[in-house]
Formats: sequence, structure tokens, C-alpha cells
Amino acid sequence: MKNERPPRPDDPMVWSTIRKEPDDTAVEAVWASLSDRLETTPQLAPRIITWPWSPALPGVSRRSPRIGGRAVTTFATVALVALVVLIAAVAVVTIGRRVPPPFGLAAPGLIAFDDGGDVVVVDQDGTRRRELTSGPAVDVRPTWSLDGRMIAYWSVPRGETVARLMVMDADGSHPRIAGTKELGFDVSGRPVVDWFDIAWSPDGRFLAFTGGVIGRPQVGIARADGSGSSLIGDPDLLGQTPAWSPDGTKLAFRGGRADRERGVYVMAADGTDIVRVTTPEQLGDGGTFSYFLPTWSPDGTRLLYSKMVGEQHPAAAVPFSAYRIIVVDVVSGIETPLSDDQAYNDYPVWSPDGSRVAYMQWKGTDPSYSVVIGADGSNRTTLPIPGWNSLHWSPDGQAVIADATDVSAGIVVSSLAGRTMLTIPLTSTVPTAFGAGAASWQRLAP
Amino acid sequence: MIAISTRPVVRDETSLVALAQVGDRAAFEMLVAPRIGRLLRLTGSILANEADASDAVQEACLRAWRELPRLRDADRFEAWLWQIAVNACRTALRSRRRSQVREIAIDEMPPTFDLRQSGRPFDDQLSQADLVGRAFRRLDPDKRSILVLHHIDDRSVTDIAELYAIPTGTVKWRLYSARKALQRALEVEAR
Repeated sequence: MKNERPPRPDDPMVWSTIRKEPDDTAVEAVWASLSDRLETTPQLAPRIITWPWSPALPGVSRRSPRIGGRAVTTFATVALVALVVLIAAVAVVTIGRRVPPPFGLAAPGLIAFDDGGDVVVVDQDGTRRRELTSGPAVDVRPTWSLDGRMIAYWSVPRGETVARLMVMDADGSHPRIAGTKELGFDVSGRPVVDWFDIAWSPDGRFLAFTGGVIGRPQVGIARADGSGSSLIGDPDLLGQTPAWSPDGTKLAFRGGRADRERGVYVMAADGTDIVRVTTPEQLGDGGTFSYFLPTWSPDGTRLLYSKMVGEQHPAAAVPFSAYRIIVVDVVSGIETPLSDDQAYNDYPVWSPDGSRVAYMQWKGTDPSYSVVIGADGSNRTTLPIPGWNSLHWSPDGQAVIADATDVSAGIVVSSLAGRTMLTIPLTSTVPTAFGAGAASWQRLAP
Repeated sequence: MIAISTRPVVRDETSLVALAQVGDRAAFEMLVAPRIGRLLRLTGSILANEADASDAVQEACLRAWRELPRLRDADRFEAWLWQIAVNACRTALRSRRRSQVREIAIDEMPPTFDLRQSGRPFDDQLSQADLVGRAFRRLDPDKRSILVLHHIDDRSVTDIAELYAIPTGTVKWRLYSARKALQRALEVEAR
């Protein structure tokens, strides 16, 4: 039968049709069957959380052979603590002495992205596709080091619950494990932990990432040569999406477990000296997610992030709280909004020379687009970017690249000069359990 | 009636989670039993099939029992269980797609859809309900899940963001995309 007007999603009839209310019989039937099956379903043994956090890799024994005796255990604990302190001290000293490489504009190299669980690279015009990884493991979120010589990515072997933070050379050779992260659990190939961010230290020797498990995220640090990794900072504060300062001595991150704590924080690279740089305030229903994606300006004086400001957008088709793009002076704590629009403004990112900022904007109706604006709020312009996802600048500051919103959309490269848009298609037809199409642009010597 | 072991001492949920994590089955039952109905509504709305919904809830609860010792934050038990249930639905939908068996649901009419109230002809209402069901089944698992979580399970955007560990802005975008996809599916099915 032909209908004259199809119902719309805002028609209550639609949801009353989709809604399936179970009756008592169905509930009791499930419970009866479940009770029987619980009898035969073993429970995993309670896990002892060790410090430093270092989950065992598949195929590698989790524990050393038991020698026995309280004295040996005490000695081992003391030795372990001493080792941690030593490593932390060495890390602080060595990181602090490193001279950061030059920032600023650079020549663009290859674009790396994940497609179908493999890391691939293409030339900047989207041609000459080469696969750098292959095999059954799901490899996602490739991220170029700042010198363009290495790529880090997350790899999850099929059926396993530990994600490996991998580093390989630019041509895909010499892959090695830099760190690991235990996923919350493995359910139908889709773990709970969704933060697969990677932040290279400016000198390319360390990687920072969101570690921990769901509900207990904490900043993780791994040595790029694979010699060790650990969680840092205050485990009770929580920490996500760390970003290195240009001199490599500090990390900015979003943290805070309770309302009064939430905000953007900065800590030393060894996890000490934690300071909140944002002013605490009531942020409506934003909860833990009120601040996002802090990143440092290339000169290290300011932090850029998005912040929920709570206004409701009248034209939105969904519940809509506006986000602003904020620049905060690290020393004074003074915040300067770059966007005062009643819109979603998110995924802010500095241009390589720090003169401009790009971010996604969406006003609740199509289309979304990327806004490019001077770091002082001047010279605002927009670029066509369909969808809604993370942005990255080309190393020469001439284009903005957006991760694929879904596998059919592909990766979008939007050029500032001609306002042209290039789409790099993905070959996979379904995303992996961890998404697909996260891109990163290789930075070559200027 | 659902039979639950009586444990008069422990009442708060955090303590129950702690007990269940070390293998106390009675504590686990006290945690799960009151949620079976809501879980069934969630899985039933996503899967649009009573048998699959029942299986998904059972699988989710069994997996929760098995994996509970890994849950570090007892406060997140509910969100954690819901995440498992949604993932169980995803698995069911993918398995169904792989099996390539077209299922004909016999319970298309929702119990809350009152035919007497709308004023439209009976056949027209049946047709509309059928159209909605067919349109909804055109959506992929992720779109179905987020729509059900928000519009049927009444989860706020913030709740869903915490459930998936993604930004609220991303949740809103996905919600918007899913609503658009549903609108397109409704239009296609109405042709």
C-alpha cells in the first residue's frame, strides 16, 4: 500500500512502534534460562592490579616464576619501586634536556590512514596506495612522528583483549611494540575502551596515550623503542587525550572525576606537578565530557580545546549543547573564545606554525564544515567538510584533512587555496571494531 | 516470579558488585534480575525479534558474569552491562546478516500502539507500523543502537557518551545521522 506521507522520526508513533515492551513471561523465561547457564559459565579469576601497570602480552608469561617467601616478595617490591623511581627520574632528566625539533611549516609527505584494519599510505593527491601492515590483527590510528620518520599505531590481534601500541619505520619496516593497553573486555570484536589516541613527543622518543580501562582512564607513556611503558599521574584524577608541550617537558590532558575537578590539566612528563589550567565552573549536563582535546600552541604558551557551554540550539534536531573553541594562556589562565557561535564546535587543531586554528562546526542541520580562523580570532573562513570527525593540518598549512566519518565517506582533504576538496576513498566496506579512516600527514624537512 | 536468593545484609550496589566480582552468584543475581525487563526492552527494540532479544540478554548477562572481575569501577556496572547488551545486539544483527535468512516477525504491532486513538483507518495504521518496522530494520546496528538508547531507553546524550567513551558532540552527530538515515528509510519504504 502506498502511503501519502511517510512518518517522521519526531512522530511519537515511530518510537511507540519500535519500542518492544517485554511481558512478565518473557522476563521470567530469560531469567530461568539464565540461571541454568550461570551454573556452567565460569567466572574469570579476580585480577590483581600491579604497579607499574604493565599488562602481559599474549604469549608472554604474566608472572615471574614463584620463588616463595615473604622476604623475597618484600625485596622484589622494594626493588620494583626503586626501579620505577629510577626510570621516572631518568625520564625527567632526559626529556628535560632534549631540544625540541623546529615546528612551523614543512613540506607535506605521505598521508597515512587505516583501512580495513591495515595501515596504508598514499601520496598527497590520494594516489599510489601502499599497505604498510597486513594480517589478521586490526591496525588503526596511524600517527606520524614529528620528524616524519616513524609511524605509531594501535594493533589489536584478533580475539585478544590487549591492544598493542606499535611503532614502525616510515616504510613499514621494523615494527615493534612500544606499549600495551588492556581493553575493558572483548565483546564481539568491539571493546569498551574507545580512546585510541597517540601523541608523539617532539623528540620522537616517547608516546603518550589514554591508558587504563573504562571508568579509570589514565595517561600512559611508552618509549618508542619498546623499552617500557607505564601509567603516570594521579590515578584518582583520571586523565585522557594527553598532548605534549613543544619542549617535551609537560603534558596537557583532560581530567577530573568529580564535577569540581573537571577541566584541562597540565603535568610534568613524569606525572608530577599536576596543575589545572581551566577555571572550574558548572557545566550543565556535560559531565566528564565538558572539555575536549587540549593541544599546545607550537610556541608552548597557549592551550587550545573545545568546551561545552551549555546553551541549547533552537533549530537542532537532537538535544544540543553548544561547544566553544577556547584558547587559554597557560601562565595566566585567561581564556579567549575563538568561536561564540551557537553551534557544535569541536576537534580544534593548531596550524603547524601556530598562526591559525581549524575546527569542525555543525549547527544541527546540514552541512557541517571546517572553520579556519586566525589564532587571534581574525580572518575567519570555512571549508567544505562533510561529516563530523577529527581534523589535521597539512604540514605546509595549505589544507585541512578530516578523518573518514564512515567507510563510505572516505578521507577528505580540503584545500584552503582553491577551496577544492579531495576525497580519498577507503576500500573496506565495513569499519573495524575500532572504526576506520583515521588519517595523519607526514611532515618532511622544510 | 523471579526467584532471587535473599541476602538481607548487603543492599548497596557497589557492595553487590564487589561481592559478585569475587564469585558471589547471589549478589550477581541481585544486580541483574531487576534489570532483565529493561534489557529485554533494549535488545527487543534494537533486534525487533523476541527470540533474538532473549538470546542477547542471556549472552550479555553471561558475559557480564564471566568478565565482572575485570570491571575496576563498580560505579559503572550499569553502563558496563548496557554496553555489553548493545554489543550483543550488534553481534546478533551481524550473524543474522551473515546467515542471510529473512525473518518474518509476527509481532509487528507494538503493545503501546493504540489503534483506537489515532483516528486513522485501521488498515492505514497497520501499514504505517509495518512501514516503520521495515524502515528501522534497514538501519545498521550502530544506528539502531543509538536511536534506541536515546529515544526508547531514554538515555541522555551524556549517558551515551559515557557508555561509548566518546565525546558528547560525536554522540549528537551520530544521533543526528541515525535520525536522518531513519527518515530516508521511512521515505524509501513509503514509496
